[in-house]
Amino acid sequence: MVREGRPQVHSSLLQSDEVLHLVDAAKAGDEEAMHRLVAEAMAFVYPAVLSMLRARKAAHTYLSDTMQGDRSAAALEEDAWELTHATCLAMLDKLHTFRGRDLLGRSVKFSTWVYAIAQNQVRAALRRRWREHRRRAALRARPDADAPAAEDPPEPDAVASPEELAVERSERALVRQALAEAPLTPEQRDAVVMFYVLGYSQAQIAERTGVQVGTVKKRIFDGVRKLRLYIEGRSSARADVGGM
Amino acid sequence: MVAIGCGRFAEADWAEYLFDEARATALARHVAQCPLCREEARLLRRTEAALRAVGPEDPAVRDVFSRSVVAEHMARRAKAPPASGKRRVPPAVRGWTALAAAASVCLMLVAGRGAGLWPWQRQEAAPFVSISYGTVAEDAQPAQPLTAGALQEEATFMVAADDSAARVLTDGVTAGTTRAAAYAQMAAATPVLSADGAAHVTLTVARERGDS
Repeated sequence: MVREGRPQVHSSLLQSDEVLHLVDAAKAGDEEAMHRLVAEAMAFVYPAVLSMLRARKAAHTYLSDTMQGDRSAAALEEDAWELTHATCLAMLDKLHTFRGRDLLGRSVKFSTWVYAIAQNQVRAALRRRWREHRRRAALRARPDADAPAAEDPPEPDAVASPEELAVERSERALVRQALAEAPLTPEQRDAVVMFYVLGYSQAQIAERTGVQVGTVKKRIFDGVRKLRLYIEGRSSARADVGGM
Repeated sequence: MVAIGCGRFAEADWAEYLFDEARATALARHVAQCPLCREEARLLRRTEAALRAVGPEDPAVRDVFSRSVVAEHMARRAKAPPASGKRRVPPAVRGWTALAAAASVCLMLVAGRGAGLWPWQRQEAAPFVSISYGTVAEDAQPAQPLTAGALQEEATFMVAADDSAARVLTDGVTAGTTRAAAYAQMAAATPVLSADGAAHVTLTVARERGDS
C-alpha cells in the first residue's frame, strides 16, 4: 500500500480557527466567502494532491487519465490541477455537512476534512482509471477484439542544465509579472490561465465561459501575444539598463 | 496590435500554428525560412512554456481558479431540485437521534458482517476494521501522517472495502463509546458503496485530551 503523507504546506487560513467564520459565511451563500475559501483550499490542496500523485508514481501505482503509467512532471501537475478542482468543488458541494465537530462534540479541523476529500478524489480517480485500464487490457487480450493502438512509450523527464534552469526561473518570474501587469482583458487573462496553468481544454473553457471555441482560441492567442510583447519590452528595458 | 513576425500571415494562421502546428502547414514552412517569423514562433513557444510553469501561488491563478470553481458550484446548485421544506430539528434532538440511529445501524452492520450478508463480503474477504485509541499499528493506512507507536489525538482513516489488504488497526481500547462513535461515523458515511462500485469509508476518531 502507498502511504500518502501530508506534505509540508505553509500554514494557511485553512488551518486556523478563523476559517470557521469563512465556512459559516459560505454556507449562508456568501459568494465572496466561497471565493476566499476556495482560494485558500487550492493553496492547501494542490501541493497535497501533487504529493499524493508523486507517491503513487514512485510506487508505480499511478495512471494518468490517458491510462499511461509514467508521464512527464508537467502531465502530473496537470492531473493535480484537475483533482484539486474536483476536491474544491466537492468541498463547496458538501460544505453544509461540515459542522466542525464529530457526533460526540469533539473538534474536527476543517483542513483535516478537506484533506480527506482530496484523498477520496485521488483514490477514486485512480481506482476508476485502473479499472478502465484492466477492462482495456482484457479487451486487447481477446483475439477477436479490435486491437487498439499500442500505448505510447513513457516520456522521459527532460533534464535541464543549470543555465537553462536559471533562464526558466527568470522567465517564470517575468511571466508572473506579466500576468499582473500586461494589458490583457479579463477574458484573455482568464482564458490564458485556464488553458496553460489549470490545464482546461479549449472546449471546457468555452463551456465554462459561455462562448464559442473559436472565441476562446482568439482570447488565448491574443493573451499570449500580449504577454510575449510585454516580456520582450521588459527584457529590452533590462538590457538597456545593463548596457548603461 | 503590431504585425506578427514579418506580417505575411494573419493572426488566425498564427493561432492555428500555436494550437495545432500540424494543420498550419503553410505557416510552418514559412517559419522554417523566415528569420523574423522564426523568432516570433520561438518567443511565443517560450511564453507558453513559462506560463505552464506558473504555480498555485500566483494571485491570478488563485483568482481564476476560485471563480471557476464557485461558478460551477453555483450552476450545480441552481440545477439541483429545490429543498423539500423539511422541518428543522433542533441540534440537540438531532444529535441524540443520530446517535440512536447510528447505534441501530452499528448493530445491523455488526450482525450483517457476522452473518456475511454485506455485498462485498460475498465477493471477497471483508476488510478488517478496528478502531480504538492508543498506539497506531505498523500497517495502518491513515489519511494523514501517523507515526507507528505514537499516540494520536485526532486521526482520519480511510478504508476501501474492495481492497482486502486495506485495514486500520490500532491497539489499546479505551472506551466502548469511542468505538461505537467510529462505527457510527462509518454508518453515517454515505454512500458506503459509492457509485463506482468501491466502498469508501472515512472514519474520524478523536481521543479526548488527557485521556491516555
